[in-house]
Amino acid sequence: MGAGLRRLLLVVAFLGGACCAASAAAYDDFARGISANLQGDAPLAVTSFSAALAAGDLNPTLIPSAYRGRAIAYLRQNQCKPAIADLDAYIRLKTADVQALELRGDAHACAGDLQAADSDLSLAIAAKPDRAAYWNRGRLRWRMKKFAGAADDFAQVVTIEPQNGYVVLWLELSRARAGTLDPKVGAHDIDQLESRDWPAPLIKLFVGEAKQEDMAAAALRGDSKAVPNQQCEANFYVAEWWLAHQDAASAKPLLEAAAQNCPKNFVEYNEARFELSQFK
Amino acid sequence: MKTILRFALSLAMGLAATCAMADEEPCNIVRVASLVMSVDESGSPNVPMTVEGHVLNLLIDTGGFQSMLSSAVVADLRLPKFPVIENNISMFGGVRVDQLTSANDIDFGGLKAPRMIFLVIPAQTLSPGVDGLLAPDIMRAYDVEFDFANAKFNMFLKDHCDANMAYWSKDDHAEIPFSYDEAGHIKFLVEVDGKSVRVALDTGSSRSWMSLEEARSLFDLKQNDPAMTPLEKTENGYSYKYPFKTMTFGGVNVSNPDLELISRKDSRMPGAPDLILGMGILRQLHMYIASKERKLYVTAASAH
Repeated sequence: MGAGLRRLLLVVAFLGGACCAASAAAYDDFARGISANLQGDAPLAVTSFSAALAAGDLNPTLIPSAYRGRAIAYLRQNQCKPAIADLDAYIRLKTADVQALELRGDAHACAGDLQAADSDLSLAIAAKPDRAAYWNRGRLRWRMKKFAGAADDFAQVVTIEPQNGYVVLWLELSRARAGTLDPKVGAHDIDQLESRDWPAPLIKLFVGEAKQEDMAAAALRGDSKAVPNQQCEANFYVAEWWLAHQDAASAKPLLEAAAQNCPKNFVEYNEARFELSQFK
Repeated sequence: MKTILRFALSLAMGLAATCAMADEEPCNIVRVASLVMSVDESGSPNVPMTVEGHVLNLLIDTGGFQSMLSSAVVADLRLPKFPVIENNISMFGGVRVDQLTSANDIDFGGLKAPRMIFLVIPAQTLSPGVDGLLAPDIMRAYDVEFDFANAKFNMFLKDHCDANMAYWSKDDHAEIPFSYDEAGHIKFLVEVDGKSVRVALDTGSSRSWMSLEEARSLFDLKQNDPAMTPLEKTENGYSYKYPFKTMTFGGVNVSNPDLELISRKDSRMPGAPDLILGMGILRQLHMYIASKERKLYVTAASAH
């Protein structure tokens, strides 16, 4: 067996060239960082990726992934600036990775630099227009109060997913806040929906086919497990409707309710908190 | 090595080694492709494949069925789409796969094919930047080696004598006999806390998971077992964590294995194996899959 093994080693070395030996410590730290990110342990991910990068002999193919992984872990801890620095390093190494521009856009938004975030998302869309980039830039432009631009982006997403009620909802609310809402166009968008169930009643509110006082009752319909989530959403979107009608006083308590009661992984939770921060 | 032969092989699955080098001696292994293996956002291994002049990024998925291209790639490259006639293919989470496509001019690390058939996978089910899946339909035609630490995915001709294929290491290695199921998945037995469980090796799964039903049956876990902690709810329902102490297979000993417990109902894969051995554990290994011998050669990832 020993002689056989030597022959195998010889042949492989001849065909492929001698293979660089990996650093045990660097790769083990890298692997630990990947696993930590998947298990939601962001501090361990940062420590592990930092050790892998500092070792100096991590395989070059894995170095970009280490920067990206550490950036994601920083972002999960709201450490926005180190995340931007790591994504800068990643993008220098992987210039063709459009998704990294979107991720750096998130990091710039996290740091409060919405203009830089808009620039990154615009670069990503110019390189490869896709649903996620338009959706993210639409949400960003909504935060920047560039409602017409947000509506343009959501309209792009609607062309891809005309049946998705939440996308249509963000389109109509952006149009409402931009002052460009056309009830006939909105009615056509409603016709394309997969279902007239939730969140269709909210879309009807924006396009003028329903009244705001009917939304609380509408949120109570359907699957009982979904009702608390629908109530959370109703609070946020009706608040947006009030803001579109220049009535911040009516919007504020609804936003406070959404920020208090919506699940933390809901879009409406984050955006309600953002809107409330604008009142200060 | 006395003589070097140049030869071309036509292989059953359509990829041909256009120029491989071999030795006359019977125990040599012949590497036909060596690809750079990157890591995607979910920590899974990716390799490049050129399809009609476009370099695509494929997730290496030993738990797959047939190689796939994403619906976005099929649209971008304007590839034709055809319905799958016997449509019973579903993936984790119940995603249905009901279309296939045909692509020309395939180049996979120097292995070439004039035309190949791929299933079409909905783009949103893949991690960002992943264009498709490399599945056992291609891998089973070769021996394959996962060298995670050196970021290399190597493919070898599978005709060789029965030798130690852990050629990269002088240290101890494990040899694990396995079997293929009907879909070409690699299956073998492991012990989890002393209980024997049949696993499927799945490089397409970012983490390892066990069916909740199997875990309850094997370890007598009650509904409200205090050691079983719920993880975050996902679109596939709740998953749980349980403090397993060890997993062993063929001399490989994994302490505190990271195993998620997911019910078959929530995974919407009623025929799923009892345990999926995913990348959380596999990335710590260096593996050579000898497909003809049906044997897995394993060392630690950084062994050399």
